[in-house]
Amino acid sequence: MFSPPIRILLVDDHAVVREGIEAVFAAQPEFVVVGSVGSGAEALAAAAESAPDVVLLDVRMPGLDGLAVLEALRERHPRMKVVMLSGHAGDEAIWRALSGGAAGYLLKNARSHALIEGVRKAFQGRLKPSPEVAERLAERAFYEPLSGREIEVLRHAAGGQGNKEIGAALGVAESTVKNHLRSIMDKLQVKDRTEAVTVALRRGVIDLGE
Amino acid sequence: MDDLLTGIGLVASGLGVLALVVRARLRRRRQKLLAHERSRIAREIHDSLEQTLYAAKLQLEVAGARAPEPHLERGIELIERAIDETRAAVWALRTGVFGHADLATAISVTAGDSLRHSRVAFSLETEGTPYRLSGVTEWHIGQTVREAFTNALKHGKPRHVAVRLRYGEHGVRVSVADDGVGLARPIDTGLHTGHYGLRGMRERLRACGGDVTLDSRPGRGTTVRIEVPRSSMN
Repeated sequence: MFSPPIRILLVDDHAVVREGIEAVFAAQPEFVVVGSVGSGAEALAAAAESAPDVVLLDVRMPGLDGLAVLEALRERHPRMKVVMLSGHAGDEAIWRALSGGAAGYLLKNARSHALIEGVRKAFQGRLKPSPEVAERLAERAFYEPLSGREIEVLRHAAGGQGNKEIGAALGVAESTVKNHLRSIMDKLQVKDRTEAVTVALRRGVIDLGE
Repeated sequence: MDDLLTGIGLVASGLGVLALVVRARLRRRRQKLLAHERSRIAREIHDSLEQTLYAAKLQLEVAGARAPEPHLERGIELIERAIDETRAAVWALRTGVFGHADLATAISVTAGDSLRHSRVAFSLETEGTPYRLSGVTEWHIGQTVREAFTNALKHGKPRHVAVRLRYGEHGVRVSVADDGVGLARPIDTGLHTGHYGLRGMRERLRACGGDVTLDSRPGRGTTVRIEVPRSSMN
């Protein structure tokens, strides 16, 4: 009748958020928080050491970010379930996480019962996306994905650089940058570069916060 | 003599061009610094305020689960609103969409964003002489319009959404009318999911002295009417 508690590792660079999540799970005898760390590197060490069942992983962290940690965890501990936690809800970021093997994606506005239910469902297999997450995810089907190079160009453009500067930074001709931007605007279905940056930020194709 | 004058003329126009180039370069530099600064502020709000608010909300929820209490629940709702507003501020800082763009442009951008992948047609009609309201007020109007679009798509199955923006002497009226199926009763999609219904819209607009009403009947479509006084202009 008594099954052992579900072991959780918390990874978030904000200590107060970890404290809040810990308080949520501490009130539930079904779970035990076996580790709480503030960086991607610590997460990998803690995952190896404390063998959690579920890792609750912040997407946006300085250094090794959530997606990189997800990739490493999937490789080293394929049975471990990883649930991404993010304030950012762009379809591209969600898609990258779920196609990278995350068992679920929770938004940082989730109520405590949604966190509890999310970890429980992830432990049992996979967590169905919330309507909000599903809605965002569905949006991706409408766009052709950008290439790695195009994302780089867009990231520079978002930083306010002109074509010439972007070309210099990437070691390509200005005309090449222009071609990339034309293709980017095509794929994002926008008319100008400002709109391209705005749409890319909203969708999580690029992220200025890092 | 003529040669000398021509020479001086050339030097002068050369200097003029140089001054223009320098000025353009300075302007670009200033814009870049500004963009950089905005992005830094956005990052700081996201990294501190938003995270702390979320942590506070979780703590209150734990307390509320232990001893249910309506004021606690209300407090949690308000924190959720604060998180939403923080996100919007971060968003506005990062993109600069609002602030530069006037209300009509902001509404068009929002419409493009919300309706892009639907087959719903959109029209915008402006009456009166446009003037600016405070940035926060314009933002709240924009968000309310966005919510109206979302609700129309979600519940209404409309073919057409018409926005009328009227600048009056005493204030701005915006109506968002769809020709969808209409509602049997006013919806309030709940504060818990972060999607505010009418109640959330109303709280938004009352905060800037305005109000919103919902007019909907089965088969007659839905109209959201927003009214904000001009006095909220800062």
